[in-house]
Amino acid sequence: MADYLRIGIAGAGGQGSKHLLNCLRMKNTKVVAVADTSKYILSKIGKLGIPTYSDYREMIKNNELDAITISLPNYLHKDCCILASERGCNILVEKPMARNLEEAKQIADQIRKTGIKLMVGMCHRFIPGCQELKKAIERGTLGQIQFASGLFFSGPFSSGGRRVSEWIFDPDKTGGGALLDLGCHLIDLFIWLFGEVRSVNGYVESNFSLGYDDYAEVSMRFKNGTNALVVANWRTRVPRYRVEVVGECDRKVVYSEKFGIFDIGLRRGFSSFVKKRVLKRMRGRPFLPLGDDIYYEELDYFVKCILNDDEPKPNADDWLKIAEIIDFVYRQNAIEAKVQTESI
Amino acid sequence: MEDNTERLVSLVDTSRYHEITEAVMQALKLIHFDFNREFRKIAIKPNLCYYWKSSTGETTDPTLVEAIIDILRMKCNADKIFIVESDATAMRAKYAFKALGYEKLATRKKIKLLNLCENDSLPVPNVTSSISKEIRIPKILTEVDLFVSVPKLKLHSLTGLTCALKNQFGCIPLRRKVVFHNRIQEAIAFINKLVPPDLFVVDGIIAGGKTPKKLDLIMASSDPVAVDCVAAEIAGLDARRIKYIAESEKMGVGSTNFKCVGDDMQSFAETFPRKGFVYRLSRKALLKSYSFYLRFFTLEGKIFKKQPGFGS
Repeated sequence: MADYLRIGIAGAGGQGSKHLLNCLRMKNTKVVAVADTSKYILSKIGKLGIPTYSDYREMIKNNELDAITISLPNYLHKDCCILASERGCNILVEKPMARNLEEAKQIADQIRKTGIKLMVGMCHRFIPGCQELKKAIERGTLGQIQFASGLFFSGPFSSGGRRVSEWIFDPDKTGGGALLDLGCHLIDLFIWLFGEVRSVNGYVESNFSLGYDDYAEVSMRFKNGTNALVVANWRTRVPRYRVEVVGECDRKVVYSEKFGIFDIGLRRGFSSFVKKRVLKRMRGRPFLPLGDDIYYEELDYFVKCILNDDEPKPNADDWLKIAEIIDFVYRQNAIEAKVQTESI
Repeated sequence: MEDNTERLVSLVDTSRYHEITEAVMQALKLIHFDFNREFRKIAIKPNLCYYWKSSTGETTDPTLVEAIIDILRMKCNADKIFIVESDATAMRAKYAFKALGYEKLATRKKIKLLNLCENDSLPVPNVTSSISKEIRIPKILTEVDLFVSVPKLKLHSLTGLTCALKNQFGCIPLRRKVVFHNRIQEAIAFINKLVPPDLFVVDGIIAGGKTPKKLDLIMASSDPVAVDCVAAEIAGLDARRIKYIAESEKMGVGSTNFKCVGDDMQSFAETFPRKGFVYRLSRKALLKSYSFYLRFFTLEGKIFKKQPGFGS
């Protein structure tokens, strides 16, 4: 393999635009093509001299890609993953990898069959505080871990006045709400920190009546003896992120009131002129004055894994573990709701 | 002879009543609302600006709308009731109805939810200005016997205040209302002139100020200018400085000559979460930080040497 990756960007909206900009900043990646349904975004990207497609299938078929980043709506993840894997593309897919356990199993089977590499975009593993946590747990400086809690309050309605994509209101297209969208980050983080899960219990609630959960609590017990609590919430207007790990000897907190790094999305903010200048000058360098860019780190890790033929983590099998937990909580709550309705 | 009822603004403290319906009834009685008339077709326009619940102080409480529906059904033999709202730049009415509990309310009360953007609209009869060329009137609002506006009492970054007059801005059956933002004062006054509601019942149960705060207030009036003058006073703003109020009065939408009836305005004014000097300062700081980023990126190239990117 060459010393760089030919990358295709499927979906250049919110998250996809970050991947696109990071790919342009890296020296070992070359953006071969971009696919998005927004004509406005495609026209902006076209000006940078990158071939654009309005359909991701066309992009995958017409280009020789080493890797693809998938930042499409949830319901398109499975089809795009399977199509890309058939073409031998390595995949960086945004969370959730699939809408449900069934789809996740299909993707995992396909990945095993084709032998390509798939990484799920779990960016929280790259938060510097979380990496310090991991090191501290591995070194044993906190003692035996007793308890961990994770709160993640964000979601599509938390930012003021932001246009929300229509597919988000369709439960069939999203596959779930707060638990699938935010809870999966914390579940993955705790599995990464504490290892195998022994048992799970969960509770979800719907206040917005949109057909899926907007609040979720999951309590997890790990085989190493740690108990953890995950709270995911779409209802608050103030984004909040807090992970606390309490050991026998010490505790560590990763805390952010405004969870979000410097957002240089293509939809709003800077003029194309400024963007071009930024892109030109920022190639190969992280946004140093703007804090650690977790999405840059994530993509950098993925690219290095592909180039060095290592297995990137979390992969499809790791997502299966998360999907099993989410699926269990949803099923458990559906049964409880049914029992309650019948008793009334 | 001067008609005083036109300018009466009633203020009712909802905490004194067991049911919100009683409070609304009291507010309507105080402004001598004529219940003896028969309204077959009624449109109710709440303020649903985004997918935020009424507890955030941003949107109208569906329980207040429910109380109004109950009263109108009971007293005026209302046959067809519509809850109307139009799409906004960042909000789709059908999802807002669903997320904010209006869909459940509609099923419960057997009423219709209408998205004004998806229904028929008429051109403005006498084109007088550039705004009147662009604005259309929702047909349904010209056909109803009673048009009730149920605004939320809150502060607004662009206009200063959102209450009776500003709520009508949501009647423009256009998704991208942002095109009117540079002449919003004129647009608000104009749409109020075109489709004037007959009754205003203001939701000040949780007011949106610096923070949302429980105010337990319901206001009622048939004059939007008078209501907004009272709302401005409660919010600690000078009504004379809010341009759309002056513009509306000039156009003959209402009068600033009002009389408050019911509970004391002062107690609500003291509770209202006002935005102070720090807020204004932080807005300036935000603008400054934005210009800093722009300056930084233009200067950055001069500080660091250019690095050749991929392929160069």
